[in-house]
Amino acid sequence: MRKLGFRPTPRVCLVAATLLASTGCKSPSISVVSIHPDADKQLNFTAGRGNLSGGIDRMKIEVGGTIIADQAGDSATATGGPYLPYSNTRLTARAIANLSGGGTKSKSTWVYVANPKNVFAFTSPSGSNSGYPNSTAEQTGANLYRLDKAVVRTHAINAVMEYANAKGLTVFEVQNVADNLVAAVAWYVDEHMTWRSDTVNRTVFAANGWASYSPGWDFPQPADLTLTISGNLTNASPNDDFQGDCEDHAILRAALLRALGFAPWAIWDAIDNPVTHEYNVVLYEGAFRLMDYGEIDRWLTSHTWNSHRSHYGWNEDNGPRGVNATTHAYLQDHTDNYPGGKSDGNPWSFQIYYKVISP
Amino acid sequence: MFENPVFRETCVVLCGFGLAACLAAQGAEKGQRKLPKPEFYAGPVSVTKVTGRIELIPGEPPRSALSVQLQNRGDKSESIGVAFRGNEAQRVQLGTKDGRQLQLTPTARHSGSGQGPQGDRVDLTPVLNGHPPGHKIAEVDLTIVLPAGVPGLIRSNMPLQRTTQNDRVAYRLLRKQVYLTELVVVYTTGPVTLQIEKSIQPTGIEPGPVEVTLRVTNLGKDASNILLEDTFDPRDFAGEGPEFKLYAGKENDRRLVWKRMIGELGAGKTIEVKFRVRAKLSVRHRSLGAAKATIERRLVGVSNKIRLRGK
Repeated sequence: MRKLGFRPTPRVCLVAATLLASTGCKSPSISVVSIHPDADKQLNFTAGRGNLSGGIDRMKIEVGGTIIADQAGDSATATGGPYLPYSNTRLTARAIANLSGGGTKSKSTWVYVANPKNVFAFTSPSGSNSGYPNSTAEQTGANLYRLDKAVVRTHAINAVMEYANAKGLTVFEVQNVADNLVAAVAWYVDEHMTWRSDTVNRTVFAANGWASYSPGWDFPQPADLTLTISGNLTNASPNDDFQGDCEDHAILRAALLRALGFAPWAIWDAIDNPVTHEYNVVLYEGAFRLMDYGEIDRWLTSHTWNSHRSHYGWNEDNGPRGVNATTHAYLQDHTDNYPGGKSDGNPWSFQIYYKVISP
Repeated sequence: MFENPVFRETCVVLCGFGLAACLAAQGAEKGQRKLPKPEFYAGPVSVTKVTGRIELIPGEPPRSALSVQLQNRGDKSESIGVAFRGNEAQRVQLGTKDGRQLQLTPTARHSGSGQGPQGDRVDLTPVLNGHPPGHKIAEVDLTIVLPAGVPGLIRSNMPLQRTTQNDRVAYRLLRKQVYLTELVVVYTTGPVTLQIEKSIQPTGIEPGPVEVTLRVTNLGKDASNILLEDTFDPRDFAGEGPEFKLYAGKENDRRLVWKRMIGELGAGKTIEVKFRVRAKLSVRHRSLGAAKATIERRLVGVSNKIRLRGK
């Protein structure tokens, strides 16, 4: 296992050093306020003298091929965005200095603008028990999220509406911002679902028409069955609308987010090492963060639970669910940490999901 | 799209027969299907009011008589399909600035046995042209009437006010400026219904002791051998003494379980049950689950959840 610990090198400085491509030895400077921008947000650009000597008449900032600032003197600032058209691709920014003696000098940088919204396709379930997993090998995202089932989509919409109620927003304000979708789903599952042991969960499934459900390792509940039978009162005494243990919460959160069009690459089910817990790793505010019991805000800043020593990961595109070298590679290779390859070059560790390490 | 050369060639041939079929075939090859986009109605018609009565019936889904008030805020007449989600829509014509009241039935599901705890899920989401409204509903006033002899709800997932209607216990759902979703209510036709109010002290959880109080009121007949149960995340809380057990599942699952048996609780009586857990760290931005009460494994009471806010 990799050595885990705090990274001594500030990430921002390394990224800036790595990414700034100069057009010559002498050039102006350009910086973006965020190294992992979210397409839903605005970005602040700053252009400065850099290492140019001599007079500068005007400074311009060009973003995505368009001049967005043209100011007298040797510096310029501008705010741009949201950058939805650049979702999941590079956005190039350039500082252009008009020199007093004639001619121009410029310097470029880029940022990968992440936006996980609007992916309205899903993988068909293929489990051999009516599409559900009938073995550990069939515990895939498609077979457990069950996006083909209307009930999953219905509750995803409920999450948007109830979160809008709770936060005084409109459904459009929730639906149009990726971070709000994440927050809504975390809030909704926390509001309506409570832990219950797998021992009881098996009994409830059997008592509610699913005695045949035999998914293999750890009895993960498909999202649609969590929503339809886990809260039933037939031979059970639930204390909440839906019940399940940790992986059932994580599966439901992932399924609801996917049903809202959240991209498969941006929502993961994660398992710690040694195995004690399952939860989610999700793109939030442009970076991969933890999502677990409670609201998304609980898990952003620093490591508090030993159960969050993330090591294995799976999702709709990468599976099946399991704890092995393959699922470890999935998590390490796809969530370190900002989309677009802006890693700081340090080895992956479970700490990268916290703001103290990856701001 | 056409990254597979074999597929590209096939497509060229097939395009004469229809590009759409070709693209569909590629989607099928990859096991991909279209995911319906969640949409909200953004047109000029609003649901301004939902009122009415939901009568709970043991052993079957509830009987509902609900009114939905519509208002066309637009400058032209609108033809619109209106229903509660999952039901067939009624089409209505609304003139400029017109209002209309419709009688609609929500979809409902029932679970549980006729003699024991039972639950109803009533989908109160109105849909306009197939989509939930993008505008909030100005006013909601629903009365949920319990079966004769049932003294109270065990739980609901929305805040309700207890009342009576024609000698039967009822609850009112009163909301303003709200999106309506699914109402869940649980009750029992058994002899005992317990109302449980859960509270904690201090209300903001920092590392250290936390006192949990369960105020239990027996709304039904004399009760005995009541098992109270509450659970906590053992990563957040610890508990000491014989009432606590650390559940460790076969795989990746842990829970701190507290249980206490109450010998007797007479009809109409209230007791306060207190116990103490120790918070291991600050716990914010999450809910503490509901405590529950069972008699011989039958559900007779469920408390409120407690939402722990941020600083």
